[in-house]
Amino acid sequence: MFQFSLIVGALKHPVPNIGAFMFVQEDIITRNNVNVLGRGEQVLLMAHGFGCNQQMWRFLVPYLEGNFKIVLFDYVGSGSSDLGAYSKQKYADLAGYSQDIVDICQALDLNNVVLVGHSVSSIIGLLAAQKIPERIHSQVMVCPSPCFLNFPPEYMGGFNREDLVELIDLMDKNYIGWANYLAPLVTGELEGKVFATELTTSFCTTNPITAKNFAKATFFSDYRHLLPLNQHPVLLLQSEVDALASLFVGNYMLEHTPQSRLEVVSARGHCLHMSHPEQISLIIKDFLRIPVEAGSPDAD
Amino acid sequence: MQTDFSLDDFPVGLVVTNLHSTEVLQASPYFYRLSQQQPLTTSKLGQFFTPASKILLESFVMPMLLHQGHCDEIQLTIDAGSSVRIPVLANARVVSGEPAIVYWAISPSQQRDTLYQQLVDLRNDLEIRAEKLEVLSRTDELTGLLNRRAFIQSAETLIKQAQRSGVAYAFFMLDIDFFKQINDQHGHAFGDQVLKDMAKILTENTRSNDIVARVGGEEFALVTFDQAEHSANFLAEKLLSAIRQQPIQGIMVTASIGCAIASHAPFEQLYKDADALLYQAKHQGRNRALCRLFDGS
Repeated sequence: MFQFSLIVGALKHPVPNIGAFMFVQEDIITRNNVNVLGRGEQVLLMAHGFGCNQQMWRFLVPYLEGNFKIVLFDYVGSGSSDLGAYSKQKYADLAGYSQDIVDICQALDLNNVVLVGHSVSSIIGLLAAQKIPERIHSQVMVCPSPCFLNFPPEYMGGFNREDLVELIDLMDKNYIGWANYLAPLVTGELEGKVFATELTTSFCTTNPITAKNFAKATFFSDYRHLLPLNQHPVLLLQSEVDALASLFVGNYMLEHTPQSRLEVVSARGHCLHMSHPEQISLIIKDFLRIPVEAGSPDAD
Repeated sequence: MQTDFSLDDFPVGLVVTNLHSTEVLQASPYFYRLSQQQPLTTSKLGQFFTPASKILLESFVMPMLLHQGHCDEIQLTIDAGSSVRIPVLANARVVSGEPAIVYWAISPSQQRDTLYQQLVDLRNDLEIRAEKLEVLSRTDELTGLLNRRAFIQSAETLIKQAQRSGVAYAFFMLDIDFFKQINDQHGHAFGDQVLKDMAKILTENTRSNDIVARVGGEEFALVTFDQAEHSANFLAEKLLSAIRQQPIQGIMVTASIGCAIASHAPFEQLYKDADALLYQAKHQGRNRALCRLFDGS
């Protein structure tokens, strides 16, 4: 698919790096569709996982907005972000996504930030925390995995390479942005317009380029080496049964991440924050030493 | 006339699951025939699908069911054992209650899958061709640098962005001295090699986010960002000395540079200013750089 990079490998300056500049605050807020809500000194920056957008936090937010300032956003390429700011090269790698988090923290001058990340965003958060450790308080990782691939016998991420190749193929068949996408290809207007013309309003990303790029960055990566470098307190939230992040993975995270604490929730599924929001909110408050009052959610 | 019709005879797999546990509560005989499995006392929906489909179920279908209560036309693959894979199309709807229940309609979609595959192949092929053309249309064939058209396009975009962000930028025009004589004396093939070597020197002495292009016969253009006046001067001198230091194709080659630095001036203005400075540098005897700061006001 992405042979572009191979072809232009011979060129020193194929695509100038626009990301070299500091962005002004309004740019970032629009680019990443940043929304700030809640009240509190402590900031929770919530990063959605692969496939969806910030709306996936709507079940959890009511339980936390009374105690925290909550910052929600969409990664460039997801949700209602500015698709004009999308770069295939930048977002082919989790480091590119982590730059979105860094940009938001800097643009809003956020400090004392708790990074709450679902699934792959746990690792993206870890990458961001390394770039701006002074702004980060701690991390909450919901169903994290540092690597989805199996490397038997020492590591079982859950999937073989063929499975993940098949996933990319299945995604191709499910994301039918054909009309929007094919026309510019045929007319040769490849730059910018492909992304700019489409505005995603659906909950889950169906943009054939951005979603697949995110999937590749997520499922083919191996960030196990990153875990021991962690410098902040980490709360690991894990389902008892999760097809994407098994208990093995949860224990691996615990064992290799300094300052981490693992909470296994007796539940099934990969979206604990959507399926068990109240339970998750209580564990987060306990982790952050927030006294829990009777009666919840706070919005009631 | 027959009046009692069996729902089991519909050619669609009907499955009822618990939303949170995904346990299969009931499924039609057709679904078991389709998936070539026997009804078990307890089974989870994921068990019927390939690992790739499980990922889609967990990261797309489940969040959608929790968020909006339904999920329409998702292409999945049933794992029917002994490497038999059956493409299916799934529609699902949540009915709330204690517990919440999901009703699934799952039908075979072999032909649709084949059609999608053909579309995907076609799109991939088009994408690769379009990207090759894109690269060709932006590249100077001889040196591999950006060509004039791509240079103008990239430089304009980045300069606008730099203006908004308050970043200074410098525009260099570089021309090889006495290039016509080199061509006349040594032939065009030799001249081409000089151009290639010059391109190499320029790329080796600039940063990866600088723009370097060949914009005319023996004329090169560079745009660099975050250049204070002294660092633009420094870069110009560094380029000149790199050119002087290494004989190109065995002969001594020199170049002249005009460099305009600004933080407000538009692209066209800088182009003119740099060109004028280059002209002056030529007149002052060549093999030198002239840099000037334009505030754009």
